Amino acid sequence: MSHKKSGRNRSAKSLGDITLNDFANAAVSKTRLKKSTSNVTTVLKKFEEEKSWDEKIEDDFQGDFVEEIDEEGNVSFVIRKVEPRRRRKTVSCSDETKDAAGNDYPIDIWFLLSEYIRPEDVGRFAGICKTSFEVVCTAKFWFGLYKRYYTNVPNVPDELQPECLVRKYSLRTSVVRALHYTYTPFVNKLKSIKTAVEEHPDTLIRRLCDCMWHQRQKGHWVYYFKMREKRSNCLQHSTRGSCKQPDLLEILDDVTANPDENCRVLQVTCQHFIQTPPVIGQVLTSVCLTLSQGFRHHRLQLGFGSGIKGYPSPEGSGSTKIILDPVINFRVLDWWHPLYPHNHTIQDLLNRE
Amino acid sequence: MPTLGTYKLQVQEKLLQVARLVNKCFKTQMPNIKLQSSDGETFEVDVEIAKCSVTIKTMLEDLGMDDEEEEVVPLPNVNSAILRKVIQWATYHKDDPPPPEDDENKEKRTDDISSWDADFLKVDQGTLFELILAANYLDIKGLLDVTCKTVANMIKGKAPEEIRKTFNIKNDFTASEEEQVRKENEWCEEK
Repeated sequence: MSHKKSGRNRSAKSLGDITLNDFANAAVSKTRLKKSTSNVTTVLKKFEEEKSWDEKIEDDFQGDFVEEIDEEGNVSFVIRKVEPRRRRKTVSCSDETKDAAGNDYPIDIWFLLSEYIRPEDVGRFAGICKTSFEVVCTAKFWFGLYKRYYTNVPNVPDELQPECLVRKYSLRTSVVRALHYTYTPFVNKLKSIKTAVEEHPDTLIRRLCDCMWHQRQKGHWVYYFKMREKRSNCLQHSTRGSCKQPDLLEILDDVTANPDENCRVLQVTCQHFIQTPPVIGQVLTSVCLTLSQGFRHHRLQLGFGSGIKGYPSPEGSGSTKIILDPVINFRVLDWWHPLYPHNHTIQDLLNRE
Repeated sequence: MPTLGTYKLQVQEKLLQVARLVNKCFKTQMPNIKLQSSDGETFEVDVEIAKCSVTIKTMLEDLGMDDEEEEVVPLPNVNSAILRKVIQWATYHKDDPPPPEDDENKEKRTDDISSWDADFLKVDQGTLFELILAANYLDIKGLLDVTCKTVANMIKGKAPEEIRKTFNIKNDFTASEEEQVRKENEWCEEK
């Protein structure tokens, strides 16, 4: 006889251990559970009776534990199946996948098409739909793109040469950097930027100074400010999709990892050494670029603050100022620019993650 | 000594054998194969044309083909409209030399589509995508190449929104996700 289930269902997702004090030794009698039907072992036994372990498929265990009470007050636990997510069709795009909003093509098609995509169309291709984006997050896509467009040109760093570019970690970043050495349209794009007026450093306002350092180069002093833009990533890459802490092997497989993703570097070449206060962790609030004395060079004044209105900078005053004068040259470098200072060793990259 | 009756029977048998041989000769000259689409329609095609498809060629080689039997090759992943187009393409290209092996280290040109192929692929976008899937399933390299090139050319220089509109593709990104994809791909933006 089938038991008629009452409508009273309580989710027991967090089914814990039941102690004697809860029921048998309790001072006040509660809606006492029949020991024969309510303990965890019985619940598991019940499932085992239905099918032997090797007959069960994974789906049998998916869902929430729900407590059900029948008319006689017997309590039993059942797994309430969660409606499975619709799987993506991978065979054919029949009429079923068509709706008013458009077609949803299988991933196979995007993989096939990805082999014909030029580097300058990668963004467009990734932006079509989530499936095409997924393809652009794979190692296969980036290795293929690299192999198709690699040409042996001078000055390509060792780590971007075919014999070195073998690891999956940060593959996308390496391929994009390599393309800016080898792919003529990208090389020409950088050349045209070089000949045009340099980008004004005020484009870096509201960015956070992630790192700053200086070094001597050919008799001049070059100052670097790595400026990070604060962005919230709403779209998870397939390799970083899960909420749990990834293990080392998962990290090493992260094709899209790029510690410099939202960073730009301000490179300022000065005639001589200038002492600068530390501004790491502060936000660039003002930039003033004027002519230096003698009108031959520039004078660059950078104002840093906490980035929060009315909140003082770490130094106590409203803001920290860095004055670089005389400035021979300045540049704003994107992470894919060949001159962007970066470290390629896996140890360094993982430490920055 | 054979009687007249048994002699007649022997002659009849010989004649039948000759007839079978002649029939077989004609069949080896123009052997046909029946291909059945997912919606049940059957197409009779020259075996040599059908063998443009590596999938069908392998199937025939592995299973062995007997000319006496009229076996039907089921193609459950291709509907009749698409199979008709595939046969049309394969018939036109039946005398083409075999396509060269893919060099994965070489940039794939997309500007070398013949005028006949360009006209042949002036179809709606849904058909174009289904042709790619059919060419992939049937393993017809030439057709796969030309269909992918056509789509790649249609993607060139277009904004994602335009591409989605051209191919009637569902936009499953939220506005913020779309912005994130754009930001992540600033490196390839043409300025």
